[in-house]
Amino acid sequence: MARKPDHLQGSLDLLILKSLEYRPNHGFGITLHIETVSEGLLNVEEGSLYPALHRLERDGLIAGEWKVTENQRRARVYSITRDGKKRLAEATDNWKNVNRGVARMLRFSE
Amino acid sequence: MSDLDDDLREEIETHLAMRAEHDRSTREQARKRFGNQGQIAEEMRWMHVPRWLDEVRQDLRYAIRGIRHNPGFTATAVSVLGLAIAAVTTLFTLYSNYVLKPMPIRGADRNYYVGAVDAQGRRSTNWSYEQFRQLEAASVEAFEGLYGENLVQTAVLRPVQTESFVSFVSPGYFGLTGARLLTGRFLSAQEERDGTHLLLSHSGWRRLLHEDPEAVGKTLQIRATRFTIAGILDPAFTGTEPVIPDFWIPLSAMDKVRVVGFGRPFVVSGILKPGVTAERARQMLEPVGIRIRGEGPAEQRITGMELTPRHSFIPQGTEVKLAAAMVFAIFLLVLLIACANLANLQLARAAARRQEIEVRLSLGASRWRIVRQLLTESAVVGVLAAMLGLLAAAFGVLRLQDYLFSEAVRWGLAAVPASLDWRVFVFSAGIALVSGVAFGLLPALEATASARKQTGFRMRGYLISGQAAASLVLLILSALLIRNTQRLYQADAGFDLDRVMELRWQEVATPAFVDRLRADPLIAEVSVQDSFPLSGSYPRAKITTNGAVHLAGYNEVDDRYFAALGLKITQGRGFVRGSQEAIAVVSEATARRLWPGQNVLGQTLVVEDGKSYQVAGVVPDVVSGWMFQGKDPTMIYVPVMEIKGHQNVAVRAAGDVQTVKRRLREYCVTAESPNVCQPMTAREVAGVQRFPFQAAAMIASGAGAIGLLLTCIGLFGVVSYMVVQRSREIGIHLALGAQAGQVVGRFVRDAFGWVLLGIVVGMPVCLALSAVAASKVFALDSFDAAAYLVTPTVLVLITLLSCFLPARRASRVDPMISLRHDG
Repeated sequence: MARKPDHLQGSLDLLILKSLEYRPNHGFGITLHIETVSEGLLNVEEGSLYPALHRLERDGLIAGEWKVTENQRRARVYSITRDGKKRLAEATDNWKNVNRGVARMLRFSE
Repeated sequence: MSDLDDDLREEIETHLAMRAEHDRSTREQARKRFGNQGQIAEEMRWMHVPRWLDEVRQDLRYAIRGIRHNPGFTATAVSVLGLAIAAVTTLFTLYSNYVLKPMPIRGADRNYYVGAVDAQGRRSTNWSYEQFRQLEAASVEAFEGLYGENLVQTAVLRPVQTESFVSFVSPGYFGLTGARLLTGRFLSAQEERDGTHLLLSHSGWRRLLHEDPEAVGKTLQIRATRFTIAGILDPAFTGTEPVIPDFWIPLSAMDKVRVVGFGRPFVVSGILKPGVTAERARQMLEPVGIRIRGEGPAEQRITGMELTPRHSFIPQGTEVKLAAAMVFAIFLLVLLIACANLANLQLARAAARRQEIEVRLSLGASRWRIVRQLLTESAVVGVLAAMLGLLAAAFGVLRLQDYLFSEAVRWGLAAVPASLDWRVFVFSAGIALVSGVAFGLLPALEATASARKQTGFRMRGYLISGQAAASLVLLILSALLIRNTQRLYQADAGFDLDRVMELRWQEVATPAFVDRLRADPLIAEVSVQDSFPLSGSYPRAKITTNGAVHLAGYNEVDDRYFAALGLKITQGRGFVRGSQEAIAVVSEATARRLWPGQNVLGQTLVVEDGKSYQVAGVVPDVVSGWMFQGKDPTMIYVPVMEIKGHQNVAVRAAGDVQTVKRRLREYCVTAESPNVCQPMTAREVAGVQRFPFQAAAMIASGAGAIGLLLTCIGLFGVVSYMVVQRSREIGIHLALGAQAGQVVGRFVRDAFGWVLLGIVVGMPVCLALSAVAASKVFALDSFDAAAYLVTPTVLVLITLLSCFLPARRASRVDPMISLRHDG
């Protein structure tokens, strides 16, 4: 069994928040958005998406609401809350720092 | 799917529909892509519990995953901690069974010793039967009842010949304690007065009658008297002492089967009525107690009454607490060493997991959250270790009990068996969690600290020092105990322990029998006496001389006693065979104490039975009681006037001791009243006394050995880790021409420095601890040069070795490989 990276949970949260910051969306929409924007590099594991959404909602970072889509389909649409935006800003900063650090390290050893 | 709530189910259905539409695939394919919905259901179920609980669950899952991925670490951690927990749990099981668990009688929580205090603050729970009756009469209002008991050793002659333990109990003992019968009946009031019947304990029934189903109604011969078995107690009732008597006999029969002496006292306890406080009961008893014991000889006069709890077999008195605290401290030290060890291992792992932790931190996880997660992992290891520990304890406790009671068992005693109960489970669960946190906290903080603060190596050093110090304390303590035990064995009893033997025969030694022994050329001397030396507590009698009353050691001996022990009469003369002269011989210590500065010879003393003696001689002091109490402060010998049924026979061997023993056994079985005997040398008799010290030494050295082993494992691990971590540096050194020996030496020096620090810190702790604890609890000499020199040396050598072995690997580092291997 392949080992799942331990930080998956954390990064999925980050991706969801980022996607919802762009616009409110339903679960499938978020999946598509992430895949499209990352040009297929990131693949959302659909099974993990809904628990993550519900957890974020419980923690007050996003809010969900049943709505009817353009295709006349009832779907639960999520939007980012103020707390969610704050968390996103923090996480983005941290992530950039880590990335920058890792990138420097990688450059150094090349 | 059925486990999901409606909202989520609809959400997922929508998702699947959208996916199918988007991919132009079927619903089934979409479902397959979506993944396992059962797992989602499981995830979602936790969504509705409080957030902290969900986090605990996540932590646990994470911890279990971590443990599964590192079986090596887990196995090491669990066994190291499990070993320590097993030791502590085993000990606690014994403690819990004897000290904490209520004794299995009705009203155990209202059970109190009825004791008295004298003007000097000395306590006693011993009363005479007459006094017991008077207390009983005064106790009706506050107590459900009082009971008296006296557990003594005696000899069963039929149907089997064996040493046996009997408890003499006051009338109504079984009714009061709520004992239940397996079969037969309890005694009637008349039978309790007559003392013709007995009740067997379940273990006595097994031991003496091999569970004979027809036992009730049969007779048991104890010494010269036959008793009819009235009933057998239920196995749940084991009496009120930590050892199970083979049988119970009414107090009225006490004189028939026991050595007759002066006013044999027995222990009085009582069960309070519900709602009555101990203080009120005490106040009600006090006037009676003072009335019956407020006068008489100074040694017996009391000034107050005292009720002390007797809820468990061994009530939590000050001495019990002190001894228990000491033993527990020893094992908690072992646990501490184990934790320090695991903390060390964890520190090494934490370094490896830094990257993972940093990513998590950067994604918004709080430091506290990650610390908690790491702690959960340690706690899981702790719980696994506790399970292992409990398992080991379950097997170990009976073995330990067997060992601790092995001397007692040889003497015919059965201990109340110890078992694991909820107290033990709660205890080891608590220990496991606490130690899990203890060994996890430091590394967790270290792992989540900002990268600039690198304290890992130093912290590991301190942990090593701590372990070395703790091991040193344990080892020195055990060395002290062992040395003292040896000394006890070598202590001077005042006579030759290997030549003098006790015959240990249940029959009356007639003059004809004694003469037969005397005729044997291998036997130098034969003496009959009331009590053989070194028998623990020896008889004492009230002696009046010059108008003052003293409580003095007292023994009736024949004319050959002093010769048998090899005591030279230092003043005056000894006894003469057949003479009716009323003379006494006293020990030197007695002479100094009773007649200081006076001429001892010719002094008159009156014993409590009214007989008057004139002191005719003085002999050197011997140890009549416990070896550790030393020579008797007082001992008065008076001549044996007639041959009684209870006399002991002492023999001084002239030839080979084993041969003499064999011949003595032959004489016993070919005597007029043939019976088996078990001759024992005085040293063997003293061996029984040495036992508690031996047990303590065993426990301490066991703990010390575990501690040392753990310390060595820890050192080995740390040094190995250092070598791996710094192999690049080593490679450079070697490439630059350093000698392999120098490199190894540096590692050994680094690691060993911490051990030395531990020893330097540990030494004063040892001195302080042994001065306080060892001398108070075990009556030990607290300073022993050998213990203080040899132990640290051994510790140094062993730890040096466990530094050196892994450090040697550094010298095998290939400079080229280690440099290419980008560390």
